[in-house]
Amino acid sequence: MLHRFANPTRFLRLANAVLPWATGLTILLIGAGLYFAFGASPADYQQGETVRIMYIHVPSAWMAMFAYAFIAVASAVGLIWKHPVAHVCALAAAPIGACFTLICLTTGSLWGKPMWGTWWVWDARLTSVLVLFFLYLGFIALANAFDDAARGEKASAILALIGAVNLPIIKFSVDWWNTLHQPASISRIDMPAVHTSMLIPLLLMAVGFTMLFTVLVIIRARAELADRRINALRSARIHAETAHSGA
Amino acid sequence: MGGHGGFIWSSWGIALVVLTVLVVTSIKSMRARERELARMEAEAPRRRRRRDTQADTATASEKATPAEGNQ
Repeated sequence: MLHRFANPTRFLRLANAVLPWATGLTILLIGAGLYFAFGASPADYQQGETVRIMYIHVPSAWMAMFAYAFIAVASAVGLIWKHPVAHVCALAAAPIGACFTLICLTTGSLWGKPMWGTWWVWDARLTSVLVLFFLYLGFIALANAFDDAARGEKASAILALIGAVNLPIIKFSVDWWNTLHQPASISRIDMPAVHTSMLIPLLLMAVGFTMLFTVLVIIRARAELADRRINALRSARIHAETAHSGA
Repeated sequence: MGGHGGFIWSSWGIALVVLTVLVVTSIKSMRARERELARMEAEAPRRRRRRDTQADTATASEKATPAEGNQ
């Protein structure tokens, strides 16, 4: 199954078929999420209206981690099976993950000030998410740091795999250390500690963001594949002209 | 918004701006590269045709030269 989509043409055929559906679902789910977030969910009994920041902060945090896990898996596939499309998908996902991490950090800060009385603390959760943001930037910088794209791919893929150790640290930081950040409220063994009226917009936004991520990975992967084809054609042209002038 | 409107709207505003910039730049980049690729691929067969035509002309003139020499 995985090997079938190592072929860029086959991958593009599937991606182009998925794109309109994913775009429609993105608009629908985020639209419904916004309606429930602002119109059909109550204020929190303790946090008041600031709870509405949760509907953007928490899905962004989930996406920040999901995008990095996606990059790590794609990088592993690219390194082990030499799938060119896997590296392309990892490169396409990196700026998207970085943007979600940036949103998570800024909205968290904006939520922290009225609720905790501070914009930032160097606790384990906040610091590990900041490290995740720098890992994204490092991945993007390393992938573009080499003239030979294949070397950049390999180096950035290794960084992505090493950096993946940060994901469980982020997830369990609130359990392993004393943090100002609260522990998990949704992904618990027992029932989520969030009321259904707040869980609905949260999940709608989360699934909507996952669809947006899919759309953006497809768009950016198409751009990357086109770029590679352009470079290949340019190289072929230069090669042909050199051979012609040599003859 | 219970006196916290500034924090709430800033959060949503930042998210909107970041995601809009990401979506717009991604679409623009894809369109620019796919246009460039389409242009290069459209040129490539023309060059091939021109090369073929040049090759045909050369072959024809090579064939013509001995014939002229025989006259």
